[in-house]
Amino acid sequence: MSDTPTNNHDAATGLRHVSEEATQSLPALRAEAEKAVASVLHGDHAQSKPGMGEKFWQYREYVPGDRPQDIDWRQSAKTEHVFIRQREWQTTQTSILWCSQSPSMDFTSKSKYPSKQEAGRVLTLALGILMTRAGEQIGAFGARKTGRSENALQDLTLKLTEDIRSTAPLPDPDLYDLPRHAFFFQVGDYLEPLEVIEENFKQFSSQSAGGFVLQILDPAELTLPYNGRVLFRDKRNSQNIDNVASIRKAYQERINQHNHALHQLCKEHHWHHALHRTDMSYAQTLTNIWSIMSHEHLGAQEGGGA
Amino acid sequence: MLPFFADILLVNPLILSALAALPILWFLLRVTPPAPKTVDFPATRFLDGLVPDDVTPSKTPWWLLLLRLLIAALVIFALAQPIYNPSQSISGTQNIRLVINNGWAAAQNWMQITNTATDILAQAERNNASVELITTAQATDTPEAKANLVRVLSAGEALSEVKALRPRPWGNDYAALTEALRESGNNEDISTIMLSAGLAEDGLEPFLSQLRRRGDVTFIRPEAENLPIALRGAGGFAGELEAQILTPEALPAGVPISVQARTQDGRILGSQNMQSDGENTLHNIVFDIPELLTSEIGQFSIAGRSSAAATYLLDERFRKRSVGIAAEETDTDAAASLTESATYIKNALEPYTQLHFGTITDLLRDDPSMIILPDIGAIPSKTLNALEEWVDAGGLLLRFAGPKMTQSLNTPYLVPVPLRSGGRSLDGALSWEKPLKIKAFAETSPFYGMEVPEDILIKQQVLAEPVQDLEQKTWGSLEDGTPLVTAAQQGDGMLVLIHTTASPDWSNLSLSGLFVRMLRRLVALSGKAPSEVFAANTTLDPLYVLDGFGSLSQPDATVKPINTKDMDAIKISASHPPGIYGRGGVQTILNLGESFETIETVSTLPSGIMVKEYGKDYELDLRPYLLYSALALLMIDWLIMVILSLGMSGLRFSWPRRSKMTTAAVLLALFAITPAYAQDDIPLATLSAEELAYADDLYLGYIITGDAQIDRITKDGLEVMAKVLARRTSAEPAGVVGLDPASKALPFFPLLYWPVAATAEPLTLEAVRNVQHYLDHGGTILFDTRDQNFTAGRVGGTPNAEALRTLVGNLDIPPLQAVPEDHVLTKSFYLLDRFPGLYTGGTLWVESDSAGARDGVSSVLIGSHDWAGSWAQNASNTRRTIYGSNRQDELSLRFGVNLMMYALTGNYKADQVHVPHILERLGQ
Repeated sequence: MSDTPTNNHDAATGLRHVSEEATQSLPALRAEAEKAVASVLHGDHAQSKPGMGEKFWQYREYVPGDRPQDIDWRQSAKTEHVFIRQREWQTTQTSILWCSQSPSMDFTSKSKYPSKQEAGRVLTLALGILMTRAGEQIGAFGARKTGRSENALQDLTLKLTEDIRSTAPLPDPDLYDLPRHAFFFQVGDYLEPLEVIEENFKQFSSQSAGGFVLQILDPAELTLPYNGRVLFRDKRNSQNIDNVASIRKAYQERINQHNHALHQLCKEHHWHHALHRTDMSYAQTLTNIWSIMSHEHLGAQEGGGA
Repeated sequence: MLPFFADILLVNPLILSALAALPILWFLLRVTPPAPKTVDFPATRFLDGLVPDDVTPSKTPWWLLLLRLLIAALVIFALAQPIYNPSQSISGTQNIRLVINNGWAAAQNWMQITNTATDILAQAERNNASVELITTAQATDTPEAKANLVRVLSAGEALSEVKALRPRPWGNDYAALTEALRESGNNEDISTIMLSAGLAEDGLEPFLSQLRRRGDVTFIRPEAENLPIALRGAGGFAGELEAQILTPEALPAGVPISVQARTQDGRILGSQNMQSDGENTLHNIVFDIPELLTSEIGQFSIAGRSSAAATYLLDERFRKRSVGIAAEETDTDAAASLTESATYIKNALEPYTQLHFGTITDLLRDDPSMIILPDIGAIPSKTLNALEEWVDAGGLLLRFAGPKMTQSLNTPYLVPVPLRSGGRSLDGALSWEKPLKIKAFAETSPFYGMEVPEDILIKQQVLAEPVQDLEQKTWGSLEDGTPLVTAAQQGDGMLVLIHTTASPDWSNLSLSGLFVRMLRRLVALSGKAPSEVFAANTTLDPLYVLDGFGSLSQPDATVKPINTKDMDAIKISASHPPGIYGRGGVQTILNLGESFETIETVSTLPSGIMVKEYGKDYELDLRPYLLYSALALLMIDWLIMVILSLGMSGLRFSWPRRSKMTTAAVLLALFAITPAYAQDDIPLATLSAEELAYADDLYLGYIITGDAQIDRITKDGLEVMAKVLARRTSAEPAGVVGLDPASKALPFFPLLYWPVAATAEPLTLEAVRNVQHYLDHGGTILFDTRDQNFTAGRVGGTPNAEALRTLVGNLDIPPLQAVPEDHVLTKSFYLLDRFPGLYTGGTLWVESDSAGARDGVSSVLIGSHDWAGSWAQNASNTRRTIYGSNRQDELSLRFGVNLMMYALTGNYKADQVHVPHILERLGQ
């Protein structure tokens, strides 16, 4: 999407500059993601079930209805039965990954925590790596091509760091049509009003064959650990709270309620929802996501077979 | 707490009404909270509509609020100017009467007295009160002084009066004061404060009663341990110095007293410490001072209690006396052998006295205090007469008996008692008697108190005739009562005879310590002024008098002379202050401490008089303390704010980074403005603006030789060179400059072209220093002797080479060598294998081992090819300045380029950059 026209004339050079700067951080981002992946994925992610893959999986006796070209004659010649050579099931599913670049993602409450943006990028990229290792096609939201090679990962990495112009808090449905039956993996903080989110989800749920919403929040956004008189502000609003401690509980209730509603919303769209706090380790979140996703794939396969 | 506040006086109590504003401040501080922290918070949307429960939230913590109120309160209190313990005695009535003791006893507490007086007067000044000032010891005994005892002054006047007031070295005259007060007849009500030295003197009680008549009286006295102390006397003689301290009965035990022995001019010779025991009022302190120094002692004083009474002046008795030891008229080398009497006398007296030896006639000429005649035989009558005159005039003649005396006793002259002829042998072969010991000295004897060793035995003596007054004249005797020492007055002087020898012949007395002590006591006696020993009727003038603090000073006109008759009856007063009185070599001392037997202190006072002590009644302005504590609290408040703003911040702690950057920026700025001196020791101020401009660009420099033609050629040549450089290289010289070797601008030129003329004069000292500095700091000079055409076939130096030698003779030029084949000069721009100029074939010399610090660039190059001349050939033809008219010209120009590159870039081309190319060239 880097060739998307922009009204800002100076933006081209500025963007170039920023992207070059960002590219410098790519190896670090990649390394961080690989580190997270390493703790999740041990060896190839074989799916241990028959399918459309290249690899041999098992022999089974021929039953009427099987394709004749699937008969393994050599094996059948050894015995009295006719065997069909089954290959391992191999997913050909395409995953589209999106990570929010909204300014609100730049927030961090303590310097020892990564910003939400950083956490989102690492997790997105880590998932991308996991998926390619699993032989799936991945593509960045907005990218023209998908693939399962290193190139696809590079594209994703660049997209994650470079595409600073789409600062919308939610993926823009007008910008990109998901490939058919694609799995849509989106990362953001989802602090928008629930109606807006719902509207957005609707657009994509019809297109996608499944989805995953990874919500990333800073611990401070969940607990509001401030005291005294504080002027809170974001891009649109500002709130002057005279005694933060006294409204802390109410706030926590609100944000939890929002998160819960988001979870329900995802369920409605048959999407998964997970929450990552920036003080959590990537590996923990990634393991969770991956187990859910594996399950999803399995389910999808069964669904597809049916 | 409460008594403390009771002792505080507020000068501006109205200010305290501002305290009423504190609750308002409290309110304001609470309703105007500190500016809120701003937090960029993505989830702000969720805060919408959340109303804090607490209507008046903890904007400012209550304790912080309290702290600030405390600061405000402190400032308000400070403005009210509180004074702790003001001189409250005068708070009631306006006018006061201040009585100040300034007698001798006051000196020991003078600071306290004057401080208290100052406090009281300062308070009176605040009250705009007038002061009746009474000082109890008068400066003079004149009637005018007495008439002027009570003075009514303004507080300010009284203050300056008190500042000028000094204690007097005499007592207080209460009787006169009482009289004066009674006579004044003023019955106006007035409160009185008496600043007392604590001494109960005559007339104090009537005086106090008189004071009491006009109002209440506050009597302030020193604390018990500060009561005055006096030195009553100093007794003893050399080696047994002691001082007597008189303390008041009320002095508690354990008060340290330190007595110092000083010279007349105040040097401390020794000091002795003691503590009061609370019982005795008389203490003796024995000094252990090297005896050599004792004669220098002029006074004793009590350390830390300087006053006239604490200073005891010593008189002449302690001065060094001159003593003459007579020898036989016939025998002049007397003091030689151990058998001689003089040896023993000398050894006994030498450390303490000034000894003279000689015949009686000689000694009389010196007029010593004492003459000692060790067993001397017949004395010529003329000498005897002179000696008698000397004794009559006050001399002390000490004689020793001996064999010679017994022989000549038929003329019993100048002896205190008549003597029997012939000696008495107590231990002879023909004697039954045993040698006798010495009896203890009687009380009347000046030797009284001296311990007589048991082992002193007198073997032989001369006997006195038993005359009527023998006993009075006897100062010491033997066990059997026969006199050993007899003395008699003669005229103003004294005759003393020791009835045995000064040598060990007749007794071992002369070997004992007793002998030494006896002699020294006699020496001490000898110095006694006759007037003191034998009362005379003379008038003694004051020589030095003590002031109130016990320092000696010149007497003023009011001090009256003293008649010796009245000496004992003298009462120390303004007319007769303590001090040294004397006339014509006769001195006597009037010591204050001797004038009283005890120090009586005030114990009970008439009723109705409030008694206080000093030191517990001082004023303390609390304002600075309040302000300081307010400031300290303000700092604490600030610190708390910093901690709060850091500690409560949930956000990333970002300002230190900014501050770090600020610090770095400040540091950078500091470094930036630190002037960087390229050349440390060029005083830039000495350079003209034009010369300074040479530093801005690259200029080609040459040295002006003074030969106009050479200089012109050089200039032309260099201008061509400048053009060539600009055309062919990136070096673009801005111009050509001719320079004097002494020019301070030399360092601005990377290279100097120095044509050498045959007529060159040796450089001046300044120029040598300048050029040397240039060479030592990175400069390069090309010396061109321009004479290659002369060298062919010549032996020895050319004129120009000789000139160069004289020119640079004084420069410190490193060893040179012919340019090696691979020298940087051969490849710094063009590849050259020779360096032709107008001439060719000569050798170019360079430094053989260029210092690494100068990047391998030789400081000096010497050649003879007249390069400038060659370059100058092209000056007229601008077209040909690019290329030399022929090959040699071109090579000459190329050398110039190489040279300039060499000077500018150093060994840059010495590395291997061009090796492949050079190899390729070589391969061809």
